Amino acid sequence: MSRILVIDDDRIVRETLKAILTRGRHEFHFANDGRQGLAAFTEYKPDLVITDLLMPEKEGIETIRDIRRLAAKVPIIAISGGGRVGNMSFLQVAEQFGANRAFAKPFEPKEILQAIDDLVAKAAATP
Amino acid sequence: MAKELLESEERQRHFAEATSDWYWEMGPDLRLTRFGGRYRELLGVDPAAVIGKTREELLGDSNPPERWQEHLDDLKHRRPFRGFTYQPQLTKGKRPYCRLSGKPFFAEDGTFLGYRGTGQEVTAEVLAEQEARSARRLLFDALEQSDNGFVLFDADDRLMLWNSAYARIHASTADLITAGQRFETLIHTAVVRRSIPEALGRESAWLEERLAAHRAARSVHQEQASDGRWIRIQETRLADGGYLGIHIDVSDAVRREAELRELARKDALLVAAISTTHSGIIITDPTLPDNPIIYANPGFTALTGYSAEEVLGRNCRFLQGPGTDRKDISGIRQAVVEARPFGASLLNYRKDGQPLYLDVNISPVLDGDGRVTHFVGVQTDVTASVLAKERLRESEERLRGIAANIPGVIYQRVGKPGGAFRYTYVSDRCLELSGYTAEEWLAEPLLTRNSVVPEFRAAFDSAKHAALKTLEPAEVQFQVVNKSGARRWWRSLFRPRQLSNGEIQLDGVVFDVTESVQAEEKLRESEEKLRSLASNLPGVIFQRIIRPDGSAYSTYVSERCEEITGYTATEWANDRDIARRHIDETHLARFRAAMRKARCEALPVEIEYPCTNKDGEKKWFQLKIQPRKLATGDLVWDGVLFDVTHQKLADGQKAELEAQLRQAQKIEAIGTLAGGIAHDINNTLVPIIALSRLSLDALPEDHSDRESLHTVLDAAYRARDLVAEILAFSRKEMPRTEPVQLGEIVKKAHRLLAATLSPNVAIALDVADEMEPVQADGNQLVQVIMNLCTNAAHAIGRKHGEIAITVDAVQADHVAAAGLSGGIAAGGFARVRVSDNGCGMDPRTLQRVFEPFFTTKGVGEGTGLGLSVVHGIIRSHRGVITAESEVGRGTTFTILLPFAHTADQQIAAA
Repeated sequence: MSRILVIDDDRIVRETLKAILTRGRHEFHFANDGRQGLAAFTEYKPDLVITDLLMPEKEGIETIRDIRRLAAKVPIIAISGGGRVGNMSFLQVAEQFGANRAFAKPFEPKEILQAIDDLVAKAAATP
Repeated sequence: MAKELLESEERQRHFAEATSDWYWEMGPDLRLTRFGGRYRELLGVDPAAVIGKTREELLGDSNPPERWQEHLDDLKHRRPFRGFTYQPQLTKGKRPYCRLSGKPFFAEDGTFLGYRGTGQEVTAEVLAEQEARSARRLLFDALEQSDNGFVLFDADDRLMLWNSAYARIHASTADLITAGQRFETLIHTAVVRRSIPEALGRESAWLEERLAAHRAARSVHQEQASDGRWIRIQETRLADGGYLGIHIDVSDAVRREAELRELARKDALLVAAISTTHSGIIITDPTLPDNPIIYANPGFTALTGYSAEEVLGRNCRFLQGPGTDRKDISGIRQAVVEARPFGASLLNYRKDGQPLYLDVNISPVLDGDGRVTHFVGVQTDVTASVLAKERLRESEERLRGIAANIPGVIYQRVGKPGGAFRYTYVSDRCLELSGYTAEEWLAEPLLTRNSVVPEFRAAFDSAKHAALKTLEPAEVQFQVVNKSGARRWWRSLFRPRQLSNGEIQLDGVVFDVTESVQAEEKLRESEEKLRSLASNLPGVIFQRIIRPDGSAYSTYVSERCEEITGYTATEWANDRDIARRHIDETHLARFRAAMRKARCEALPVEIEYPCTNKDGEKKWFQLKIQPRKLATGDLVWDGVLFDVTHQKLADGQKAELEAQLRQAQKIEAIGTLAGGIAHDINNTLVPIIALSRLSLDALPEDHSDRESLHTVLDAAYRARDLVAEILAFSRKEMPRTEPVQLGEIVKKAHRLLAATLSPNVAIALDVADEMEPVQADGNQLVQVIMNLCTNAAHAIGRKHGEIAITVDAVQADHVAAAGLSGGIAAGGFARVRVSDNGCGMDPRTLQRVFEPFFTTKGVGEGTGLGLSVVHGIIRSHRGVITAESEVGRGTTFTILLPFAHTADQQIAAA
């Protein structure tokens, strides 16, 4: 069981992730945008962060960058409905800025849960 | 015996007497011994009187007869003789003529015994003979007296008799004129000696003719002797077979005849001359009162208009009129009175009143005693010459006026080659031209030469010398310093003329051409500028004249013609066929239409066309023509031709870039939009997929809702894929390509379609075998085909219809022929055609069919992205897609994709 911080501005995505994380027996906390997400990260101290990339107020890439400044090791999963920066997709960019995995929406519950398990286990194994 | 002898002698004497008048005998002393018979009877002489006498004695003192000495010789030499005629001396005064024949006789021992003979009295015969001889002598003398030649030939054509006139006439053969000479020899010799002029050159024929005439019974002909005399020959054949010829020298007659003929001819000529001459001739008779006209020739009538009948009997003064000079009239009267010739030019008047200038010459005709019998007046019409003189005077006046008014100096110079040429005439404008007066010009031959600026003297001199040598007209332009010291340009034109005295005359005119030279200089500079401009301008400047009859010629084609077109300016100007040869065939009609517009409507034309220059290089030319009409009806084209190949290529690239930019902007906009939409849709799909999946995981395997959840998932996945594609389109990602068989792609699309299309739409598939692979993203191509077919099905609607899909291979030239463009390289292409027989599109719709968000479908039926996505995919595969459509007939989309190896070349070329 892990503590998961979910940052997404879309309610139905948050609800869906709630269903998935519940199914995976994870604890979770939701934030509606990057700023809230960053505050929640400090407060909630999650084992893993799932963040959307296109969000109002503070978008995902910036959020990932800021989280990485605070905690280098906490795994981050980026999720996105699409979009590009230059030649790269947002997901690629997110990976460059520190996201450990990236999933395009819509995603399969299985692959998310699997990624969480893998990444948390890996983080725990890292000194 | 003696008796017998005596009887025999007696018998003989009888015989002798029977055959003659008498017989005689002479003894050895030549004295008569016997004399008998009829001697006495005939002569009345007693024979005793002559017995014992010799011949001499018998002859007496009478003149010795003919042949006397011969007779004496005969006797002396005892020879026999016959026919000795003599006149014996008779006493009675009778003088008969006797003729003797005698024969000597000899003794047996040869002793001469004397003569024995007979005699006859032949007085009548001798006298007749003498008379005949005398007559003949007389005739001959008479013939000798004649100037006519007389000749007689015998029957054998031998000359018998001729007189000296004959020999004179035939002097050339005089040496042959001898008795017995043959006629033929005479004429033959005359011919040989070339003394018969008319026989020259036809000798044989002439001889034949002459002989024939000679042998005719009577002939008369004339022949000319070598000395020119004419001989008339009359020949007559005589009864004895001989010929008598009379040769008469008729030279005088012939000459007189010729003279008469000449005289008659001259008379006739004179009469004809008088009646045909244009001069008027009148004859007056001063012995009659008022010296009236007694003859007027037709010339007079023609001159004056008066007929001969009208003037005969009248004095000539009716010809005079108000303008006639009184002085001349009194001059005529004076001359008539003094009977001397008179000549004057008179103004007379024709019958119709027109003035008539006549040169009149009046001459008196005198008789043998010096008395004037007539006057002859000859009138010559000099009206034309008088008027011509008048005109000449006017013309001279005019020339003087011209000389004074034309802006140049007219001059005439005369001189010998090598020497100075003096001025013989200089027109008045010389003062204005040079500052020197005409008098100064005339006084100083070297005036102009010295005025010439030194560096022009050589040219000036050589032009003059060349003209003097060739006597051809010349012109020379040079600078002079005039009297006031100003430098001026003069142009002199002159024509040399050889005079009879060996000198040469120069007729010339000299103009001050300073302004014109300066203008020319300016023009030249201007032309130079123009030429320089023309040659530096990156185009061909030309001017072409089109005549009203349609013919055309170029007046100017600038130098860069060859550089730009490959054709020289001359070729360009003269070859009317160049356009046909160098312009691309497909643009020729357009080009000709433009030329027609410039030619027929004189409207400006600007046209760009692709062509091949002379070197075979492909070019684009831009031709601008500004036509203008001249007053002459000619049409002038001022034109310029530019090579716009680079610009055209740049234009093409620019258009491409612009299209790309437009597309990029559009796509960016779409991308942004699509990105936004996609994001939202993806977010929306997140719970659908995730929760459906969670629900499925949660449901037992045999739960009835599982199938529904799977359907939800399928739909969600399709939505997800669609969004992914929209995002791919908006992202313009390079497709992930690999060699694929287009036929397989199409078949796959067909399989997918078959399940989804409504049953009223049939799909016919025609895929060529064994095609090369294309380099493509197979999934994208499937989507393309499906998209096109979906559209086609929509076009067909609820009707029954068919979609035909064909796949085949084509070459690049087909691509070009199909009018496709936009970076298509040469090589092989795979072609897919999707045709339907649906409702079709109008041209306006067709034009926008590939635009994003352009749709004819109702709200909610389509995004309008389908064909733009198709377009984007095909472009990203370096292919092209075109659409043809006709309302009511259907639509065909044609896709061309490069075969894998063609695509490699394209990439390499790029």
